[in-house]
Amino acid sequence: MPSFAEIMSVYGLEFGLGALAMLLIVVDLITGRGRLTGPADVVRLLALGGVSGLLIYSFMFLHASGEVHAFGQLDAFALYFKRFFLATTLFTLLLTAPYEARFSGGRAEFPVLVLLTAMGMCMLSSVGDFVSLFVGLELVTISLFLLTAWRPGLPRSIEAGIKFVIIGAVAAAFLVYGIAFVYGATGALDFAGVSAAIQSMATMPAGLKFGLLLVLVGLGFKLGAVPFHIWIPDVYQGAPTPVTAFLSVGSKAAGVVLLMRLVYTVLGPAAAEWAGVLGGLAAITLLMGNLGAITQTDLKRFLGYSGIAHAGFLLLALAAHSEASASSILFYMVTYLFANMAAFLVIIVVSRTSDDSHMDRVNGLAERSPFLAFVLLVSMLSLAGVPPFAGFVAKFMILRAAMEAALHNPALYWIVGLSLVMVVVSLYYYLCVLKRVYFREPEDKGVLEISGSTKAILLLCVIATIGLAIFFNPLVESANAGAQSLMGALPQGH
Amino acid sequence: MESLFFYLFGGLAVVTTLLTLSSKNPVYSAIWMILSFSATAGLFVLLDAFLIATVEVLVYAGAIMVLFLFVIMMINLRTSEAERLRLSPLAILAALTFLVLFGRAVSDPGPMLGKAPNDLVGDPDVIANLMFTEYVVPFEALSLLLTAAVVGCVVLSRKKVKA
Amino acid sequence: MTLAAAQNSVPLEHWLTLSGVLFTLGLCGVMMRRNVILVLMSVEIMLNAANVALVVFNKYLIANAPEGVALDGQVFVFFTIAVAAAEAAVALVIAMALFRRLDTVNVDDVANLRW
Repeated sequence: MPSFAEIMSVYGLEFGLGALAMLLIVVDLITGRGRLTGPADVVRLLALGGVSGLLIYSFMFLHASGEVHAFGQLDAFALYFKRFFLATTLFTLLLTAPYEARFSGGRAEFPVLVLLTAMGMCMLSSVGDFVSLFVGLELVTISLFLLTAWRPGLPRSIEAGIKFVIIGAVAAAFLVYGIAFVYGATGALDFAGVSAAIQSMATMPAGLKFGLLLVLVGLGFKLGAVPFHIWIPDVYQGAPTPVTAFLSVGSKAAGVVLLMRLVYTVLGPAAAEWAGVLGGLAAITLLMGNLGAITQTDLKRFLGYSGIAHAGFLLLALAAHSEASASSILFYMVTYLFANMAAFLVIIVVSRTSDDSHMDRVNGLAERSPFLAFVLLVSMLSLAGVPPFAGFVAKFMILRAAMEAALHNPALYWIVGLSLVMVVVSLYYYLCVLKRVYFREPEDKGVLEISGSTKAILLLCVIATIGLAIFFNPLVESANAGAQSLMGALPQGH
Repeated sequence: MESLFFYLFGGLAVVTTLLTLSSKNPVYSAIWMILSFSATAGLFVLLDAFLIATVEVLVYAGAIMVLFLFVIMMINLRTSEAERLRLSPLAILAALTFLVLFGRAVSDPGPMLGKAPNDLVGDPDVIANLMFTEYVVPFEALSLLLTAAVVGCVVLSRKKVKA
Repeated sequence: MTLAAAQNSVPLEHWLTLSGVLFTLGLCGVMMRRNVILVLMSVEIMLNAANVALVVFNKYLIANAPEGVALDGQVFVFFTIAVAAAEAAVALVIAMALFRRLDTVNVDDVANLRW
């Protein structure tokens, strides 16, 4: 039976986030009294302060431990992702500030739901059994359903909400059904028990394969892997932009963290059988994401397809299944965070009055605001993986890890080849956006006003994106530590 | 006896589920579904999961379906508006793939499963003990999930919204 | 002696087939019905079928661990029921907002955003 202190040593951050959310509800109740303005700022500032505090706390006082409890663990891998999720949450709250005026209501409740989602995400990086996995995942998903429909006055937002709910609920049903079959085949719901049962089997029974496949469906939905990606374009376009940003980074990372835990720790050596499935998924995801992005005319939808393409890269790294590839995924997520957050903040600024994210909004942005144009340039080129930016280092690491793994698994050469072709395709569509920014005539010649805080956030993203391309060692080292702890937890069955 | 009740409740569950899905009137659907959940509760009794059978009736057939009925009544769904059923080839393909894989899974579900049932009984005492010791973390997370749902629903269900 | 342990018990395959049939019916409902409320009901049917599978597996496990088979599967069912309730509430609220805003609950009418 776990003691309170043990649970707190693993789930302390989650406790902090949950308590902060409750505090915000109370503060809103006391200061709000039904008014729509005023307390929202207090609540948001409290949320910002609290999350920054937790992030600093996680860097200064939290240390990874090798102890594996039945209910979860705080290894270097979990800690890396917890910090990542806290940073994502911080960015989401910062992005909400310039957007908030567009909410018709629920401004004070918005940070509460963001914090609860963040709590679910952080929990997912530590979970040690399928029950926690399911509840944590649903905490994330259900909060995101609500956040997506947060502007019920806007038909687009409601439509996105209803599509997200239906597809998300079906994915949850598949996940539970899959977990049931895994449970039946292994007799356990905790990762250690499932892993031990799998190691003891000479071949996987069909029931286990079926169960794992359905679990993969449930997680592929979060990750945005084809063919479970159908919700992405609509939900990205319809959701309020800060929520889209949160979804694109946080939800994807939640899928990644669970898939990595399952593939590396639970499946362990048996994962070799699944390299084919993951590789196949990677190939079609790369293909569909990149080809789909070419014809898009809406910026958020465009970033949705680009996100699918990035999921393809992450799946390729998962298929490679080595310590180097695991480490490259961790690094990749951070570069994706900065580039994506910058892009979404630019979208919030350029769509300020109309809240319309058509690509025409960035036409001639270079004339209206050279700074914003430069930010978009850095962000797009980093997403495309062009050399002087962090995205290049990340893609390079994944491809190198995949090439090394291809020595044992020649099919990977084909996927690496495909991904290289797709990098060129992606360069084309990212440059198309930049062409609008630099060479098209703006519809509205007025100079764009950018507030100081927005400028500071964008500057941070740009510096991080360029800085990580040059001084990547500290982050790579901590990613390596995370990957090592993930692989180290692997029971040596052979 | 045992198998008689299995086929009785199982058949009832399948038939009422079919009726749920094929009824033109959503109110009928909801009522068929309450029956379907009650039949499932009977199945749970056969599996000695007495507490779950109770909760199935209370929460599923009771709370959730009443919520559905409430919403159907509230938005006053018109039944005259005949709904066009959609049957895309892709959906059929997906369902068939699922069935094939499922068939293989049933034929070989795993080495840990016996031919005859074990003698476990869904004792509330044991279940509560598990829930508050081994599964206390997801239990607490669940309470926050419900909080999130309540907070969000309150915000989204306000009547006055501006575009 | 428990109910199910009585002689001539139902084979595991029959139980699993029943849960599979229910799950597939729910899946077909999601794909064929166009009314949002009915689609949500179909999802509930799928979750319910998964619950049946969990309890069945729990009942047919053979003890392999030293402490024997526990009731983990049944505990999981409680969690899925609670989550299903929350999910249904959230989905219905969004469906209500959809109805208020667009005066429809048909999935096909929700096509301003391309599928």
